[in-house]
Formats: sequence, structure tokens, C-alpha cells
Amino acid sequence: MRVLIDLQACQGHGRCAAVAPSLFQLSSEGYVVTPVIDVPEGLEDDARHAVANCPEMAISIEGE
Amino acid sequence: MSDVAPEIPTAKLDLDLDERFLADPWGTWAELRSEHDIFRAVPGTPFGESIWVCTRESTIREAYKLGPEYFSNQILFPYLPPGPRVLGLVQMDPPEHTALRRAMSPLFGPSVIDAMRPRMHEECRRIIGEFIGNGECEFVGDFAKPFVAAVFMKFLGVPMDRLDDLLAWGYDAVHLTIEQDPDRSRRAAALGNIRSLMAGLVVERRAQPEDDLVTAMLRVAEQTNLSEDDLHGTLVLLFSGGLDTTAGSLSFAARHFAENPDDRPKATANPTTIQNATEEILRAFGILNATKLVIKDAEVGGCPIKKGDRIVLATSSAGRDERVFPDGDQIRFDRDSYRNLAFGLGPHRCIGSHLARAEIEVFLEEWHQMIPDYHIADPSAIHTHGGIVMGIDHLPLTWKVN
Repeated sequence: MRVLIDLQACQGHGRCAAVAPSLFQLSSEGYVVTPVIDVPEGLEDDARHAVANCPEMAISIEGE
Repeated sequence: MSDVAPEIPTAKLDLDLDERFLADPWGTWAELRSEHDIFRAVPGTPFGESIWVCTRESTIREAYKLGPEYFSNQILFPYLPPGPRVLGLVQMDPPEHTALRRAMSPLFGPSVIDAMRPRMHEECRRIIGEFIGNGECEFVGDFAKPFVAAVFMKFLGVPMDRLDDLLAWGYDAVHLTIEQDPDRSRRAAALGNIRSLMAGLVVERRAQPEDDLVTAMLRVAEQTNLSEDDLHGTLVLLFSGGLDTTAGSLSFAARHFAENPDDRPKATANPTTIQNATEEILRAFGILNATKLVIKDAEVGGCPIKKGDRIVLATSSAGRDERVFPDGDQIRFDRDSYRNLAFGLGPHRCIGSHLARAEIEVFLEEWHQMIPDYHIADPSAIHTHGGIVMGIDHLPLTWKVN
């Protein structure tokens, strides 16, 4: 599973890092820095949790 | 109203003064939503401009998407005239806003807030301990405001020795209606008092840095070339924003759990249900009616929005939007996570959202451990306020003392 992040849409609310800290690292300014994240096995639910929580709808699962 | 074309959706709503709205904001929103995704509110501003109110998540997102080219944050209150910028960050528009917001966001990030949790638990238990033996309290004044103030004022760097003054200024700066403050002099005085306090702290921290937000903001101001005026204004914003927004959410939560004892164990069963319950409170009891000034003619939900009008993005209504949450009036703590717009959207979304969530979570856990059974002493004594940030002013609770 891969997670795609629309970095233009990201407003730095940090909700992804709060609900799925093992997947999302934020820059020193609080923004997601990488547009694609490979989801390690076992963290698929965390990834979906982050998708569901982003207020800006900036996160998606590749192919979904 | 002869100048208004008949197809313009119009409805009566005064966010500050409508008795029906103050008594039941979410019931009123449900009625308004059933008629209009967006409508022109009557009355408009006291100066003759229209106030447009977006009730649906889709129209709110549509407006946010148009963004600051059309909708400016320089006026935040639907019924106030334009004036000089007094609240720094929140009244700025991009690109000026962008650099400052980026520099400030990390000060309120999830890891910073998580580190404060042990102190939040301590403050929460200490404050409840002060009145638990009485078998009653006025929740807003005895708990919600002192708790939020104890957590936030220390974080900000404001001494707590004049708490009653601080709370009164914080209230007057945001919530006074035109009936309570016809010439807006009380609001101006409160803002002036907060500004003097902040300006004084800036002088002190320049001489002697501390581990607090005022000191951190001195570094931010240097990095971003922030004017002294906007530094003070931004600190005034943090002061008032940090105090009574969360107190409002806590009070609506307390009213819900006082009225629905069966929901208490469901909400507080474990850390996950506490987090879900916090989301559910934020969704179902949204308090924000973010207001912006229209600076360029626009169309939202098919309505012609004119330069000079105000637009209210009622995220307090969006949390109950049937198209997004089909059973939105049901308060449930087994929902899967979902996005909600309780903190707004876009670049101006609440910078303190992680702190607010943590405060609600700590309240749910500690209160119900210490006072598991309680009820509202006199429902007719409950007072609420509306406006851009809704809340309860008076909520008397009682419980049995062993």
C-alpha cells in the first residue's frame, strides 16, 4: 500500500502525525514533506485513519 | 427589501441575539439547512452589507476553495465595522499570513502538546478537588475556564494572579453583543487591557527569556520581521483564542454528559473511546461560525456574493450536515474516525487544535473518575452565547457527596 499526499493542499494541521505518528513525519514547520509514503505491513489501518482525518482531504491511498 | 431579487435565499438569523438560536443552535441549523445550503441572513450588518451564511459542508468547502483572493480575514465579526488590525495573525491574509503561520505552527504541534499532558491531568484534578466536596459547581466559572486558563496561561507565560480580570477581558473581547455594548467601548477596553498586559510581558521576556510562548514569539517575530504592533496583536489573539474556545466546547460536552448518563461509560471506557468521544463532541457540538469579509465579487452555492459583504462559514452547522453524517444528531462514540470542520479549514484553521483536543480528553477522563455521577441543578438557569465562537456562560451541576 502507498499513501499519496497532495503537498499543495497540506496546510500543516498535523492531524496525520497525531493519529498515525509512525507513518507521518512533519517538517520543522509542521508540514508533510514527502508526497509518497510506502506503508509497512501492519500499518494499513493507520494509513486509512490518516486519510479519514485530514481536514483538507490531502491524503489518499494509491488506487483507491 | 425591494432591491433583492426573489430567487435570493433569505432567512432570519442573528448569530448574537436570536433567542431561538442561542437556546438550540444545532436545532436551528437543522431547520435552516433543510431550506438552504447558503442564505442571506436578515438582519445584515448594521452598515447595510449582506451577511451570507453557509450551512453545508459542501458550500463551506466551496467558499474555502475560492480562498483569500475573495474572502479576507481582516474582519472576523459579522456585526462589527472595519477597523485597524488588532489581532495579528488571524486578521492577516496571504502572503503576509503564510510566513508567520509557518513559523508559529510548530509551537503548537502534537509532540509539544503531548509533553504538556501530565501537567494538564494535575491541573484538572487540582481544580476539581477545590469544589468536589461542595456537591455542586457552576461548571463554566468553577471548572471550564479555570482549567483552560491554568493550562494555557502557563504555556503562554501569563501570570495567573489576576485570573478573574483575565477571564473577564477574554470574554468581553469576543462575546459582547450590540445590546450589551452598544458603542463597543467595553470591547475596546478589554482588548486594550489584554494588549497592555502582553506588551508588558514582551518587555519582560526581552530582558529575561523564559520557557513560554511569549518568549518563543519573540524569536518568531525576529525570523519573520513581524512588527511590534502585530506581535502584540498576535499575543492578544493567543490569549483570547486559547481561553474560551475550549471552555465553550467543554461546557457543551458537560451539558451532554450531565443529560445522558448512559453515555459516560461509553465515552470513558478506554483511551480510544476517549479520543472518539472527543471527536464526536467536536463534530456534534461545533462552536465556530468563522466570518470573513468579501473583497471580490464571488458566487457560492449559486448566490451572488458582493464585495463588502460578510460570509459566515458555519462549521458548527457542518458537523450535523445530513449529507455528510446521515445520523448526525446521534451522539455516538463507536464511530470510526472522520474529518470534521470543528477547527475550520484552510490556512486559518485553529492553530491550537491539538491542545484543545488534549484538554477535552483530559477533562473526560479526570472528571468522570472523580465525579462519575452528576446532573444539571436547574436547566432553566443555563445561559448560552452565540456569535463567531459559541459557548455556555452558566451551567450549574450537582452531585452527591459521600
